[in-house]
Amino acid sequence: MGRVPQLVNTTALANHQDPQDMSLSRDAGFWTFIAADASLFALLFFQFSLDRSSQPVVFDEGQRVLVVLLGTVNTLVLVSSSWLMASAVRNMRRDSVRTGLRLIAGTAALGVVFAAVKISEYVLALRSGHTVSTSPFFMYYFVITGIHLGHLMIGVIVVVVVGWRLRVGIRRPLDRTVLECGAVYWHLVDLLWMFIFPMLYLAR
Amino acid sequence: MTKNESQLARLCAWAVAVYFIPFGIGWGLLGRMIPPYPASMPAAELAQIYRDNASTLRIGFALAAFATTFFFMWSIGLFRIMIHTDRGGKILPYTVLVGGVLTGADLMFSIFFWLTAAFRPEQDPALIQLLYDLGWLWLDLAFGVAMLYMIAFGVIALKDSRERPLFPKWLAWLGIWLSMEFLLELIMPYFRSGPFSWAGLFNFWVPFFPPAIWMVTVSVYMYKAAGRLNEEYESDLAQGLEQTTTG
Repeated sequence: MGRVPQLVNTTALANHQDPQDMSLSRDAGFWTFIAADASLFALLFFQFSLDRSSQPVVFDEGQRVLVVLLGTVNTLVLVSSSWLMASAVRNMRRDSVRTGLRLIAGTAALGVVFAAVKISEYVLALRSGHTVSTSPFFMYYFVITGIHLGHLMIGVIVVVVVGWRLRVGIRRPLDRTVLECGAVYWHLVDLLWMFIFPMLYLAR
Repeated sequence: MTKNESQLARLCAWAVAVYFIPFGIGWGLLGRMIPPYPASMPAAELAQIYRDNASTLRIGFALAAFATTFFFMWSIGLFRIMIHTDRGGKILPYTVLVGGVLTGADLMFSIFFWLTAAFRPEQDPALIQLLYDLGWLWLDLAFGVAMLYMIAFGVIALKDSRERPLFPKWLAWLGIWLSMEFLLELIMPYFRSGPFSWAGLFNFWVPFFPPAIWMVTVSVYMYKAAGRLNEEYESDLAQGLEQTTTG
């Protein structure tokens, strides 16, 4: 999970005075964003489980409509993208920019693949007559995966912008900061999917 | 920031309390908005509540509408502090001003729909329901104006290169996150009940209460920043430096 271990001793570094050390993943401030975001998903999962336990039949019926294979493919896609992202950051730190750039491009491409698979799943569900207001299961399905997909798209944009700037030779401390912060965010999006996938597709 | 402006900015920071207390009493308690009635409530039932409580509802909403005046005052104070924090920046501080003032206006105008419903509660229940719906849809779906000032505030606070920043970075990030969370309101019109409806966990409790606490915390730092910005001004004057951050 990227640089999570470095969360320790962040406060001393929070107000980064050395511009060379402006890594946001060491900034307690950015972790507030991550923590708040994770809490929102925790609340969503909690509310989902609560409603599910009150009407298990409706939720099980909805779940049967989902294509587990597509969910599994997306899980593999996202785990691979996370691995590419972590390798990209490692390469950038070692100043092997070319390899880093390739890995960043790979991360973004896998993000797009994930989105494409997710959108085809939406089309399949909508075609078979399931919308956000047809059952509580599909309400949660569309809302939770929709918010997650929104997160992923933001991640793709951040990664593409940073990658493009590095490619044209812009390398300010801020770019490194955004890259590292983008990596932490990417891992969060990946981690959230690790909860969403079993919760929506598998658990009966 | 001159001594005079610093004192006024501190007064504006205090305006948050002058806003929240009457607003909470008027809108929340007397106006019966914490929690709101669900969108699934039948018109006749809602109209009956408005008939039975017309007088407390009227004073509650009137008081809450007046309280929003202090939201405007707070926004102006935050804007001036942002201009100095951003060392004379223009677009971001003005975004804070416009977003803040429009957020106050959003709150104020939505209250007038509920006040109108309480003004003639004997009328057709469908009209009471219409006004009630309009108030909530207006209040919730105008979240974009709050995003403007919360994100602009966040960017200014993150850009602040002072050795000891005027606003903590975590508060900036929290504001940015809270403003993004408002996007959940986009799905609110699809639901009349459940956690994503206007009375539900994700479109009432989460987007209203954490941002209110955030606003109070911002005000505490606003108060401190006003003092520090005046010290900065005094020390610059002592060094004979020309002021560039008067906006």
